[in-house]
This record gives sequence, C-alpha cells and structure tokens, in this order.
Amino acid sequence: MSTYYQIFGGKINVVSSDPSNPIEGQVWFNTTSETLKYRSINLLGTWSSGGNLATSRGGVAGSSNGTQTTAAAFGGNIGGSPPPSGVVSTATEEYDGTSWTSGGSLSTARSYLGGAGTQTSALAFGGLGPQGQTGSPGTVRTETEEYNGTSWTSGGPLGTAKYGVGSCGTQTVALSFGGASTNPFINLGPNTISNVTQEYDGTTWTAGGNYPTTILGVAAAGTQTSALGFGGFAPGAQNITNEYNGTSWTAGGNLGTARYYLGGAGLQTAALAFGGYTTATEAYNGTSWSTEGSMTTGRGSTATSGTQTAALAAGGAPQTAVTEEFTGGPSGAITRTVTGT
Amino acid sequence: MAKNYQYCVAECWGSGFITHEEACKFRISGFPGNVWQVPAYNAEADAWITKVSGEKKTVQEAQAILNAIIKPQQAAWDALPEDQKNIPPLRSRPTDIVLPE
Repeated sequence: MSTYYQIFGGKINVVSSDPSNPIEGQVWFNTTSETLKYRSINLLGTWSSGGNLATSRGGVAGSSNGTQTTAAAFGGNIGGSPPPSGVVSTATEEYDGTSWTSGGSLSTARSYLGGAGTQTSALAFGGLGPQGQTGSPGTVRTETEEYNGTSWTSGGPLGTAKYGVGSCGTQTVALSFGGASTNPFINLGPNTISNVTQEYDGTTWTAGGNYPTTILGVAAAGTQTSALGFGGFAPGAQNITNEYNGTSWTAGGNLGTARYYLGGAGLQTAALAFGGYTTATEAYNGTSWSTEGSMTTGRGSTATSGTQTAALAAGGAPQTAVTEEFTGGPSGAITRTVTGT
Repeated sequence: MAKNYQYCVAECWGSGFITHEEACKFRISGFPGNVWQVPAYNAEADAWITKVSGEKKTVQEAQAILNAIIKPQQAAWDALPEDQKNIPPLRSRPTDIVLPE
C-alpha cells in the first residue's frame, strides 16, 4: 500500500497554525486545534439557499435574461394532488437577492409558460390556462404579456398556442422553440409536440428555423440569434443539445443526464443546466457539458434567471417555494477538517 | 454497520438556510416533509443541523415522514380515471423515495 510520503513526497507536517497557502491534497496536523486537516480539490460550483417564494408552484416561468439577484417569477400551478391540477396562478414575484415580493399579476393565469427578459422588462407567453377539464390545467394559450416592473400589458400572440416551450432572450428580442399545442390532459401523442421556432420582435412572433426534433420541456440559454436548446421530452427524456444562430439549429454536445423540464441559464457558449426532476447540474462551454455541484432539492419546471456562474432556480415541481442560488466554480480548494470516530 | 448519513427535519427559511460556504464543505440533500440528509460523523454537518434547529431523525423516522407524504399522493394518482393517469411528462405516479442509512 502506498504511503502519504510516497504519494505526496513529504511527511504530514505538525504545525501550530494552518499553512498560509496549502496546495491541493496537502495534509497537516494543527496542534492548536488538535485537528487533522487537508486542502481539498473543489472545482465545482455549489447551490445555496435563497429566499423562498411566497407561493409554492410548479410550471413557473422566470425572467430568464435577468440576474441571480434581480429576477421575476410568474405564473405556475399551485394546487391539487396529484399535481399538476387545480389552480393556475397569475401571480408575479420579484427577487432582490434575499427575498421575494409581490409584483403585478398576469392577465392570463397559466402554467408551463415561456419566460424571457428581465425583472423590469419581462415577457410571458403561451402556457396551460385554467380552463378545461375539472381538476386539470386547461386550454393551451397563445397570449403574450409584457412586464414593466409594475404591471403586465398585452403583446402579440403566438402564432400557435404552446406550452412547455424553450424560451430565452429579451422582452423585445425573444425566442420560443418546441413545446406542445394540444392539451395533454385530453389528447396526448407524439404528434402534439412541436419543432417550431418563433422569434419575437416586441410586437409580432414570426417563424424561425425549425428545431431538429420535436421537443417539449426543453431548456434554453442565450439570445434570439445565439441560443442553446438542451434536454427535453420527445417523448422520453433527451440529452440532446442544439445551437441556434438566428436562422438554423446545429447539434452541440450531449448532456450527461437526459431530462426534461430542466432549468437553463447563461449563454450559448457558457450555459448551465440544472434540475429536470433531478438534482443534476451541468455546465456547457460551447462544445461539451461537465458536471457541477448538485442542487439541494430535485425538481422540474423552475423559474430561472442569471448566468452560468450565478444562476437562480425558484419554485418548481413537485410544487415547492424553495429558491436556490448557484455560485460557479472554480470556487477554489478549501481547507477541510478530518472528522469521524 | 457505520452509517453514511444522518437526517433531520427543519423548515427552510430561505436565504442563509444553506450558505455557499456550507455547500462547499458537505452535501445537503432535501426531501419532502422538510427532511434533510447530511453526512454522518461530520462536525460541520452537525453544526449545520444545530444552526437550522434541526430535529434529528433516525433513517426509519425520516423514511416514515416521506412515506406519509408520498403514499397519499400515490393513492390520489391511483384513484384518477385511467385517462388522467399517465400524462408524461406532466403527470406520472409519484415514485417512492428510499433513504439510505
């Protein structure tokens, strides 16, 4: 068996205070605290707690182009067992990096809607409305609404009603792709899932290049002309990634974990994927995905905002009010104390 | 047999419940019913439980809390009309969660 000396080239130091600049893997005994310590290898980002939403909800959308500390969450499904069923929300909440406060309500209650823009310039579109079968989310919506930080006003409707779309961009330069146009509680089938891409100019949605596959519950990052789509349900959980240049989609590197209704943040070449009814988190560098520190609470369809290194996940399904904040790596190695009995 | 995890019940109050520094030091996993899983025999995890006023639970007690939440959800799903059950990806039967020692 190899010894520490053989591996590290030195003996474990016995010191009265921690070394000022230990290297990764270094081990020492601190006589003052009487503890054995080591310098860890920790290049992964981590998730920590943010302020809870006032209302637990799944299928909630976020101002995906906002920041970790300045975001809005709107819509979502807030009742019923088993979910999703029952009540669909119009509520908007605004985040200041610590807590959520109420904002103006959507005109159209809905869940699994698209979200884009920032806290003071957000966009909501599509989704599953409250009408329909008893106890189930109902009509698939076409409405677009624009938020100014206080209230929502009507924008141009989607050409085709959709829920579960991938969405990114700003209030006036937004992108929507994939999704489904048929109420899944009435008529589910692969043919209800779409590959259509639509681009918003602040007034009207127009057709863009079709997504390479039909896809539902797909995550998005980036801008209208430099977007990333990843994961989704086709049916079955997908690990595919595709990159959009404003005209057409091309294949990127596959996710390590196939999933749907996952969260997305960041840019086409610096994106973050998280959740999707798992805790898995992965970072994209424009070519491939690498593993990051896992979420604390596994869930899907969260409200998202922020960047690859400072992302926000709020709410989600199973219905929760939990907010988590991602701090990207490398966070650097840290000193750890060996404990145990 | 030495256990790998310990469990507690604590209500997540929001910011500061799990800090970035704590997340760097050890893994915290959340489950339904405000059940939290952290490493056993870990002084920093012990300190976190104290900080959040966590009520320590055995794995059996924590499992019972999860079951009390999940089983009724499964029963509600089982009672749905057949055409309302499997609607992937939005609705499928809630799955059991089995907590490890």
